[in-house]
Amino acid sequence: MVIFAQTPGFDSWLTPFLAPHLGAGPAQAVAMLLVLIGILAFISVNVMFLVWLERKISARIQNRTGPMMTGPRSFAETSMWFGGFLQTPADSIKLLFKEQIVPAKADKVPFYLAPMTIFAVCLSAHVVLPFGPLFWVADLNVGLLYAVGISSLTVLSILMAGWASNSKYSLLGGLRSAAQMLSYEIPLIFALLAPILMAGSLSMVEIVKAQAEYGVWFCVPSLLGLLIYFVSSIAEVNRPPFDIPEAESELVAGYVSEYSGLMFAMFFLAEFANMFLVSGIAATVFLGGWLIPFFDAPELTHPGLVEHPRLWVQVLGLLSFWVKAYFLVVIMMWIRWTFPRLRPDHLMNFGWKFMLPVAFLNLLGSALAVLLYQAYDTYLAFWAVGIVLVVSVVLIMRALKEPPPYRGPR
Amino acid sequence: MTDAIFYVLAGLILTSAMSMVQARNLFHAGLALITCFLGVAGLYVLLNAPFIAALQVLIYAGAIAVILLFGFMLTHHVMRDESNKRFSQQAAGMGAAAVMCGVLVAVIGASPWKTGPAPTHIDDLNQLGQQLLTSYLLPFELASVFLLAALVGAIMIARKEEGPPPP
Repeated sequence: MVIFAQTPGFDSWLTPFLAPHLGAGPAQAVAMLLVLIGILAFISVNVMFLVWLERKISARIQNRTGPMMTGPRSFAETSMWFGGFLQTPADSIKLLFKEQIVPAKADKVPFYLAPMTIFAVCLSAHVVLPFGPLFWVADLNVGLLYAVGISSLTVLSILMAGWASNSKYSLLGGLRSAAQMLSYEIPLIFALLAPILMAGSLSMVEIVKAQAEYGVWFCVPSLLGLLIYFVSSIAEVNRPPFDIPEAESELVAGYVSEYSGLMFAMFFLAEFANMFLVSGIAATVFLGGWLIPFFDAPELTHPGLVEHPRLWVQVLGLLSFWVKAYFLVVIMMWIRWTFPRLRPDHLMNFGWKFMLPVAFLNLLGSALAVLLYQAYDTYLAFWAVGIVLVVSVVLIMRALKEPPPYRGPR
Repeated sequence: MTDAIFYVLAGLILTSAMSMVQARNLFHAGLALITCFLGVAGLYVLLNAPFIAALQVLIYAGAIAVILLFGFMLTHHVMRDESNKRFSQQAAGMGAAAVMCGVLVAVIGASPWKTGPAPTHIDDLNQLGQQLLTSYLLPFELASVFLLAALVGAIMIARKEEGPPPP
């Protein structure tokens, strides 16, 4: 059987150590299993850190006392970053020890399946994310499409949860979520098409290599694409200001209303892991992945082909990806704690009537950029197209802006 | 290894398809249908067609089936387990399925299957794109025009009649 990995990833690091003991075939299988367990552990630890980060940021923005103070008093007095470090352990222990309540009239099988599938989907999508040069589980030749396709199954778990709970709040939350995710998936995919077109490949690793080859990150020619992708992905992971499916004031907690304890924790975990996943995809596809500006090293531009890769360059590449991904995550949290929730009809209008046409324009511009690059063989083509696109969209928006409603003489 | 995976997938597809037809509850039928789609995607992966597999997951399991479930949830009485299947209908359906199965087995057994050498390259995506825009340009464009017509038609049907403005 052909495994569609193009460049060997993580498991190729482990196989040489296991092969003398197990034989070549089983060693590869065991190495893959170990890598998957590693990814699972990574997601859990990363999510705990993200929860802590979100609480800290919310506390800074909205002046909440809990996450600033929980824990020994001396810690909080030392530095603003140490105060409240016991908040996440307290949350986790509370969730672990809560009673599992299943509604009597719930549809049992989908009710239990929904939290499991939402986490399984999230775990499978992490497989193609390149964390750094040679730090990936599998470099599929359809990597990006695989990630998007697998992530689109999240809505299924949400529908299952909403329906199986047998409660009107859950059902409405599930329905709203499905409508929102289906609408925002379209601009999201069209935004991702621009870098795919410029790189000429669907593999995440190839897209990063293409950015190294062109000498520009794809956020330069398609800054609009990055913005559209980012906004759509906030809607995809159901975070504010797109959290209409779980609007507390109308729907209690939407599709998670009837879940408690560990099953709720699974939804919570999946939300944060998805947040990191979409930020990681944006960092890889638009922000150059593990590449570092003004720093060229063969380990970064041609991973896997260097005879003796230098460890510190690999670590720098890893750090570069993490800085970019976490930068986007922090922006997502910042948006969450600053903006009010959108109204459903505004949400639909924005998605279909603004984001989709701009995504089309962006795709056309990217095609033009590739043509110009091939004709003149200079990376300035990407800069020119990017600037022209942004300026023209700003001008069009100014021209189409409706005058404010007349409120009578002042 | 490949054979074992194939049999597991085939078992999954057959059982989920059966339970979809037999389910007394529309929502359960929809879930079984999605399991079936995912199993078929697995078969595509076994056939060295990762692009088709990813599209199968994205379009069939991720979009079409979700819209189906969406429709079920908006219908009345969806929470109740009721179905209007009767024994005579089941018998007729089984009879038709048996005849169909017989025909398929006969055709598959009678036709000579030509097998070529297994493809050595795994980067089939570029070739697929080039073939779609050169050799198969006409069917490709026809399909897109057809889809566009369906889209415009659906919007026209769903659109509200524009009457005089309300007083």
